[in-house]
Amino acid sequence: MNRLEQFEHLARRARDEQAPALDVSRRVLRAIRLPQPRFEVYSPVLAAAAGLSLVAASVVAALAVEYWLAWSDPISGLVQSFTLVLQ
Amino acid sequence: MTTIDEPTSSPNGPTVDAAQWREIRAAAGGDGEAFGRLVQGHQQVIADYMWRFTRNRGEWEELVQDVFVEAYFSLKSFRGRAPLTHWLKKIATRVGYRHWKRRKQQRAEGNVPIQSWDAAAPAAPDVIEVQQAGAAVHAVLAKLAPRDRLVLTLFYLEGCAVGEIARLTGWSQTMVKVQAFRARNRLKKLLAEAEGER
Repeated sequence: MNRLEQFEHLARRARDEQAPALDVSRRVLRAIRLPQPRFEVYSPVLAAAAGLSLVAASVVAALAVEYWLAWSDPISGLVQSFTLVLQ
Repeated sequence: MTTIDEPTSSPNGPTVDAAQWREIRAAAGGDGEAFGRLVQGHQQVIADYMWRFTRNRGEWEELVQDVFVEAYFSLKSFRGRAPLTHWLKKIATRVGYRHWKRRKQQRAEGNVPIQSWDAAAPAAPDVIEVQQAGAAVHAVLAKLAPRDRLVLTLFYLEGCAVGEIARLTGWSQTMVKVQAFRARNRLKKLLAEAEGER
């Protein structure tokens, strides 16, 4: 008997093999009630990322306003313009 | 939305009985309990089938679950042209094949354990335990590419003919024949290499 014949013999024997007993009905029912399990898994990560992005965006915006106020001095510019208009 | 009032008749007569068809309709309409009963009625057949795809218990349970979850979301497309088990096995084939493709990188390393065959197969061909034979065959097939593995698993372990493999895989019959021929040659080569490495 060559190796291929041996393999074929084993495969014929293995046809009768049965898997262990299994009950997945509860798991399946739980899964079909949550149609987007992947999103559920990743949602805490997404929420944390969104929160961090919001904080970072606020800090950048505050720094930009502060920079603009410090260097262009818009308030005295506005006062001067207003005075000129009045004159 | 498509309505499914009656199963589509098959030339060989009805493939789904009236009671089962009512359960299928109820499940397709969102009745979880009806679907639970369908799962309970078919889970062992699918569990046995998925055992061909993995012998890792955790992965196996997950694959069986995936089959039924996919079935639930496709249930509206079931027309009753074939028994429900055939339809579920088609989904199971897709789920199992996808699983192998995902794990392609982790294909089994090392030699084919043909030494252990000598002890069992030629001397006492019918004495070898079914589980032992299953594990030996699984170890060899795990070394092949997913396409080769699929066609040989269905041919050798499920005892499927060309037409049945074509139905389960969605390939044409010509494609199945070509794939089976190539896969068998690669299997022969693999076994010859293992013999040479002894």
